[in-house]
Amino acid sequence: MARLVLRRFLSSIVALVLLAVVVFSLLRASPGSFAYAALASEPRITEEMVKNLERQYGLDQPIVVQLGRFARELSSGDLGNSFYFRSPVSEIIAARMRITIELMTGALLLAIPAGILLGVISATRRNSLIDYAARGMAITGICTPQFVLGIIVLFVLLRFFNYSPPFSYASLFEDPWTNLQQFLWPVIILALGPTAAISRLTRSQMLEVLREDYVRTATAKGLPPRVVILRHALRNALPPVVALIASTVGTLIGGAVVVERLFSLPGMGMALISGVAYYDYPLVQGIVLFVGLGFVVVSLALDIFVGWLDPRIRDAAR
Amino acid sequence: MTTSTQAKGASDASAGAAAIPAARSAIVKFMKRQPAGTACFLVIVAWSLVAIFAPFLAPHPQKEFVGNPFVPPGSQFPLGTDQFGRDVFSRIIWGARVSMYVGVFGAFSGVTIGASIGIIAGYVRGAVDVVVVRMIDGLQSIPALVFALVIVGSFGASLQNVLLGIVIIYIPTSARIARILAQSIGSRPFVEAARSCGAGPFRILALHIVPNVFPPMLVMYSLAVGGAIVVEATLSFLGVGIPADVASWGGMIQASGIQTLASSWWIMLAPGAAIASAVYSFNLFGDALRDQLDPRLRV
Amino acid sequence: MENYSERSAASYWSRRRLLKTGALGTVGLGAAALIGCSNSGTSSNATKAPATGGSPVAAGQPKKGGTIRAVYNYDVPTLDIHNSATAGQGVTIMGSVYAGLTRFSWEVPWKVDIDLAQSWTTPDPLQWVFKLHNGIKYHDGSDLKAEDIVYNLKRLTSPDGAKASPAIGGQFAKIGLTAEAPDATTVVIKTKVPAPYLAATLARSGARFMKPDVIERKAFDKEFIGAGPWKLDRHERGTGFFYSRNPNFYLTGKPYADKLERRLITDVPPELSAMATLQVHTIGSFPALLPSQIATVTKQAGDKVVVSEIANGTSRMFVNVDRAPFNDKRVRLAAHLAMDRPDIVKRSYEGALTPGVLDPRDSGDYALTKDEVAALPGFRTPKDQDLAEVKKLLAAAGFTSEGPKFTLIARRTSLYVEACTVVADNLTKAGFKPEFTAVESSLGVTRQIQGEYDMGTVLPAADEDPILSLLNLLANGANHTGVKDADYVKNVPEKLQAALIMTNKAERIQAAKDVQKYVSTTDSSVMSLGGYTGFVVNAKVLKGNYPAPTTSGEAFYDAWLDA
Repeated sequence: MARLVLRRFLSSIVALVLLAVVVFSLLRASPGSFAYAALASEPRITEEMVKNLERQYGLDQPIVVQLGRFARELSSGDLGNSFYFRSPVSEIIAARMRITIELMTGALLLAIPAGILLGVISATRRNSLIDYAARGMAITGICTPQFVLGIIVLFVLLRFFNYSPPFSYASLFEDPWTNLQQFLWPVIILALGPTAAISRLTRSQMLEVLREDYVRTATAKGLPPRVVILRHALRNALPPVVALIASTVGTLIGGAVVVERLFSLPGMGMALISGVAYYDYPLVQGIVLFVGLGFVVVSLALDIFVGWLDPRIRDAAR
Repeated sequence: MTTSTQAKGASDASAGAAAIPAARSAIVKFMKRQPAGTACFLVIVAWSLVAIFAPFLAPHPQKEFVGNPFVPPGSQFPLGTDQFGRDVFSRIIWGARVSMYVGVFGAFSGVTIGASIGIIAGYVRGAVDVVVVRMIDGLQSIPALVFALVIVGSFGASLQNVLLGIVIIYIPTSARIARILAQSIGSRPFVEAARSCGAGPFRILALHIVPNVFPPMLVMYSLAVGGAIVVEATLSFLGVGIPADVASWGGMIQASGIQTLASSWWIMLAPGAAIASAVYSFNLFGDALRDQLDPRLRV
Repeated sequence: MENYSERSAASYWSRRRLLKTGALGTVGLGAAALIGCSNSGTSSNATKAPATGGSPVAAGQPKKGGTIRAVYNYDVPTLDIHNSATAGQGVTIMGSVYAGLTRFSWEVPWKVDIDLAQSWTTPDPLQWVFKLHNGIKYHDGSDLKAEDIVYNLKRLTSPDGAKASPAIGGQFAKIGLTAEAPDATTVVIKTKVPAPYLAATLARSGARFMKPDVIERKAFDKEFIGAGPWKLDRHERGTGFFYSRNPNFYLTGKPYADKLERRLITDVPPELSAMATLQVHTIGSFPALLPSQIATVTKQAGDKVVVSEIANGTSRMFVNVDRAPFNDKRVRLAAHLAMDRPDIVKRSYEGALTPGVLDPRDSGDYALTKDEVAALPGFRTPKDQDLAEVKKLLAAAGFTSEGPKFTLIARRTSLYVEACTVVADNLTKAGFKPEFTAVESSLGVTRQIQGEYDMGTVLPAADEDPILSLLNLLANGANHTGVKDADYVKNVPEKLQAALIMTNKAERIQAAKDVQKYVSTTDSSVMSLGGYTGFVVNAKVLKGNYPAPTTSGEAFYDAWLDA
């Protein structure tokens, strides 16, 4: 187990370094209106000001020197200053990540139990009405883009219930009721895709496991079906599902970009769109690296969890 | 020596002749066992034809204002007109070009490049494999939409850059799967046998590994097209995709907004339905293909 | 000078025409508006303006407390109120924080009220004496002195200031404005030529005053110390502006509400949703809303909101004359002729635009009549004659096989993107090759100011004086639009500057009409589309807040919540 953790940890670090280099080169290779964004508050931009700016950001240096400087700054936790927000990128991320994380956590807390439950029901009552309903919902959840769902939800709430989620953000700790109303709909929209994916995989895994001998034995022993399903079948069906959740986290961040915009939640996704539209390279770079870091950490944690859940994987690492 | 070559040529020829009925029976089998998948395939074919023949099928050019704004669906405009008086039906047809081009071509390039990298890494192993695995891990730690945003944001909003973004998104995912498959196939007895018979690495790759990696990659590809269409539509919706006046399904929804949903629902629902039907078909067809090729194989 | 007041009463009903939203409340407000109407004739141009007393519109005793909620649609590049880059949303946002010598009334359109000045006199046409209220304090508690105002005016009229703020600082510099402070509560302003419109220009938010110390340290994007009704407690870029009432405000008891919040909502669907469910108290001050957007709100909110019309200025396209292809006067004229105004009105403005140069609903007699507009090149229907001339002009300019290629940028605000979509279509049909891109709003402002565009669009806010509106529309704005041709200079900027100081109304109207006709037949760098009159929605609980001229922002001096 310790070897598995160490190996995954080391490979995560390598992945992160690579990611930083990729993002760094992409943004440097682009021909953007970087100077206009950085000097927007000046009444008149002169060539000299642009030169000064390039010097300040080290853009006049050879690319290798720039990379070295970038690595130095990164290792000291300095992500630079955002042109658009005019404050340090690390501060913007710190202030906004709670919204994005709340959205994602909410979506996972909803999607994991709902997906597993639907999958188990589908598998145990195969070809029943509920099975078809769950499968239909799953495929719809996967296929409909979140922005379409978001606009339809906003419209239906407004038209038929004369309701709109509160648009001014309230923190979960200061005003939980408002916060709940704000996050409920975006979380449901975000959760739909993962719920669908999880229920589909759970269903197929369960169908396979239910055919296994040890499950048949357990049933033959006269154990009640609930116990067989929960204790014997589900535990063995779960490892691939947990692995799926790791990749779901990535999809959720993409979805957060969309729902934050539609529901006026000032999270990291909204900042990322502003940054992209504004040629705000430090901001985009910082957010992408932060998201990458988060993703790697979550994947690592889930890998370890899967290893604990499934001894075969643990042994394979040896 | 001569005879053996001749015999081989003959067997190749007969294999080629036999391939057609074999393929036919495989298709018939697929149609029998996967009626939903077949229906989805027909929808895919239909959308592809619409995209290819858009200039002939669309009653009006995509940017032209042909009627009054907000005309409801009727005999003159089957899907009504948008807020500018452009024919929604024509724009759906033109929009299919963008979605299918980006989806089919972007996913195809991404999956092909990814699969090639994966196969080579999985077969060659050693240092190449280590490097590729690290690259895949690095690229995979950025969510697809975020990556596409970064690429479009840094190189500018254009169809080519959206395509580039989508190609890059699918490289790591398909490389990872192809690598695992190539590894497991590479250690199977029949490959060992071929190797011991003196087959070179290229021959083994071409005759044994690639044909066996191909079916699952086809499944991966079908699913990737659906994903690519959603990414393109989302980028256009966020306003960082292709230019605003080019008809794309996501852009059409972005421009309509909620105010038209109340009074002129067709402006938003028509492109919404188009996206859903295309994505649905690619996903369901991919599933059907997977079930048919190997029910135990899951991506 | 009396001619400045004449417009108000006549245009009152049309400017603030309250729409029937199926509510009884509309009737009450309509009656209130009538009262306002009768007041306007007497007060607009008094040399000594009346004190701001009880509002005739806000019937009933104002209630204290509560939070007024408003929205804005895009961030601006800077919060320096003396920089035209703040135009539009920026003046609305910062107009609440900084006070000026005068301000526009909330009840009577274009009526100039006193602000920091308790009175003013004009001993001679070249001299204005403003007497300040006693004991005016900044938000930080320090005293506002007359010399601070002089400092601000000096900044505006300096070469840099005039450049950064062409419509205000530039205009002040042009008339040779100087200011001095003989004592702590008196500001004397002198001009080289008579400037009867000065009180109105001073009422624009761009002419408000910041604490000199903040300007000196160039800290205006971080510290917001003014003497206006609202203290800006917090500004989170990309999120919102959060204000609290200024307890030291010179008008004791005002503002009535405790807090004011402005939140960023970039997309129209959530903005309309928020208004329809009454989570915000007002939307649409700038840019005003289109009929279909209003319908979405009123369908849900019914009689809980009051909808009124607001003139938002003249929608225009402008071109960069400093580079190809629009450095060629033939191409400029061709582009002007190619734009199909009725088409633009129909497709991008849902009929809320009146083709022409000045908006008759805003400028009354100064605007060309419908028939006069219909006869102008570029405004004619059918379009055949205009398009034939376009072809000739482009051929003469050397574009025989392929039309001129250029970039058309629109700031990502729905109104601008929609207008440009139609303009791009018009130009494409006429043989041009526009490359249309929508850019993030504040970046778009910067690109326009820096001249990184070929063609763009903006909605310049109208001024109290139609001649000044015309001057701002045609000669100011982004600095890359000034045609230097001697004939043009004589017929547009010079003619308008001369008309500014004319006292005979008929002569002024003639000058205005001449200029409007001239720019439609020659190679102007500004191609007006028409006057935009859209809609503002106010929640019924928000009293004492009616659409003021866009130029003065939405300062909520007299607003209160009847909750």
